[in-house]
Amino acid sequence: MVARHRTSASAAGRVRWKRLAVILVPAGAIAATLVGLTSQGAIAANVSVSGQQFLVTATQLNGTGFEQFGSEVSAGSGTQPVIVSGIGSASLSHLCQAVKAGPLTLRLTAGGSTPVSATNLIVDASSLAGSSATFHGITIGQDAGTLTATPGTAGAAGGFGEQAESITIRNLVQHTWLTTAGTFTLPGLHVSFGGSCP
Amino acid sequence: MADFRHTSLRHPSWRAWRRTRPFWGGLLLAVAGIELIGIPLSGVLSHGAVKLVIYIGIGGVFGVLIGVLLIACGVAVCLNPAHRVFYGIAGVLLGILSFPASNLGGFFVGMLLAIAGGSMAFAWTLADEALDGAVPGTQGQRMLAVAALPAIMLASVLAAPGAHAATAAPQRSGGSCILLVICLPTPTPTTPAPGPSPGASAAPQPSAGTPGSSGAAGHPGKRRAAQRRAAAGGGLVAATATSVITAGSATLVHLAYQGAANVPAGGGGTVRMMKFTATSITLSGDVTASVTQRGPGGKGGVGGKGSAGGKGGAGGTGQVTTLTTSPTLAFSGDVVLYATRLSGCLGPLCVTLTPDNAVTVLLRLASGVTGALTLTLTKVTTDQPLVTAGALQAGALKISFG
Repeated sequence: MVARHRTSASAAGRVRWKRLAVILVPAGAIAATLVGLTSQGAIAANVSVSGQQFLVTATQLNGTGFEQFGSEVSAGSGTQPVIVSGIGSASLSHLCQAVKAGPLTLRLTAGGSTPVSATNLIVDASSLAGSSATFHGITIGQDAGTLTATPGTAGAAGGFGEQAESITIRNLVQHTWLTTAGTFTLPGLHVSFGGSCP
Repeated sequence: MADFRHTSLRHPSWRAWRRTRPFWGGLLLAVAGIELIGIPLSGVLSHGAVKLVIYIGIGGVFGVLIGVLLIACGVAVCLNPAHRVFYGIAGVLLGILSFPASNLGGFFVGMLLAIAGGSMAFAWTLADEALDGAVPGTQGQRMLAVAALPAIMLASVLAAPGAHAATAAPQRSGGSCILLVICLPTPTPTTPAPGPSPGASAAPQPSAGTPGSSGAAGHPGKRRAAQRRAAAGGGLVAATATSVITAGSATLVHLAYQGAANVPAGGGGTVRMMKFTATSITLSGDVTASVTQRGPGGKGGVGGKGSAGGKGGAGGTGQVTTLTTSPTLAFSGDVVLYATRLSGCLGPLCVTLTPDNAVTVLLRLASGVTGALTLTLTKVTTDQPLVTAGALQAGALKISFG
């Protein structure tokens, strides 16, 4: 039997645990280092999520190059109207994001002492609320197709849009369908299961 | 009976197939890849919404690329077990790379699966290979090579933050590098510019977002001036969607009616609107801005087709109304208001203004007087508002769909 296996091209094999450790341990160490650096805000992460609704909260959002217009995303069985907000450069304090992954809720918090910063942040939200908002250099009622505050992002011509040079929103609460950002630095990153955002 | 014999025959061969290759490692790699693809693309795949791909940009593209490569590694390692060391290491590297590149490694799950799967594929050996491996020379050399590899990986990872900082500034104009390995020109997400864009002169705003410049108040002064000039030069394009702002009361400081103006409208043409200027306009008492527009899928505009037509006509949900509510909206700093219709009550006297009615003509004559006053109107309704202001201070703001 052994002899046959030896010569056979399709011999059985198995995982050698020592060999596994040789690669798993350093790989784990590197991954842990990356996670650590990211949670210090030293490495920017790329974030893009779509196809499900999730909750995003922050105690304060500061942004420059803001624009907003109506659109829709495909979601589940049909389409869902959304408010598209684009921010060229944003910083968020006490960011919290709750994503439902099957039966689990993944809760991601960051930006406790140092705020989270994001570039080219685009959020498609089904609702948006804040306890107060301040805009500078604002234009409301601009055609959505001609918005220029966030380069490369504009809505459909004829739509209602608004844009501002800078924006501050306190106690932001958003239900979003899609988040994407060129870069995301997440200082103080903490991931946990269960619970929701305040 | 025949069925039973069939499965009992098949089962061992399936089992033998699995046992003769790093099946579980490959499976984990493939699952990791599917998970990484799923997060950015599930919304896209379910409806083929091209617009989302444009939105997702470089982050999503890398996520998908890494996911596809992981699936390929997983399948290849099963089909070609001889190259399991290569596929295993590639899988582990891709898994680690997915952490900064794709949604924190698919919220950790995909990264951990890829590292586990790649390690298992790497560590899988033929039952008789262990005997060969016992030869000290080859084994020692291989171990050395294996040990050197993580050192290289670590070095590249540690170089990454520095590299990122270095590329951060030119990233907008040039390309972006991830781990010094993959360099791509930054695909600034280009939504096809819909329609004619008269505001083109004001388009590129290079200072919009340099990463890390969270001291955001840096250069608004310059840009504000630029934007003002653009606005004065006719950069304003009125939205054609039906929009109405209502408020319990409005306090207008130094309001002056500047006459009717033809404002360019989205999708071509112009709209005749009244132009008002004021030092400040404060709306209070259940301020509601309601915007009704067709879903983008149903838009028939010239440019609308270019940007939204890619959705395969999945939309067309008819009218969608967006409601913005706030207890107060305070515009200040050279407020310019355009509107097609404005109504309100000054004490018991209620008036409705449209660009060419008699009251408006009177108001035009009286603008010298109103320009020195503070007026308070009640029950204010403004149709098709187009407002520019130096600043807007809003109370508790809520935007939702009605």
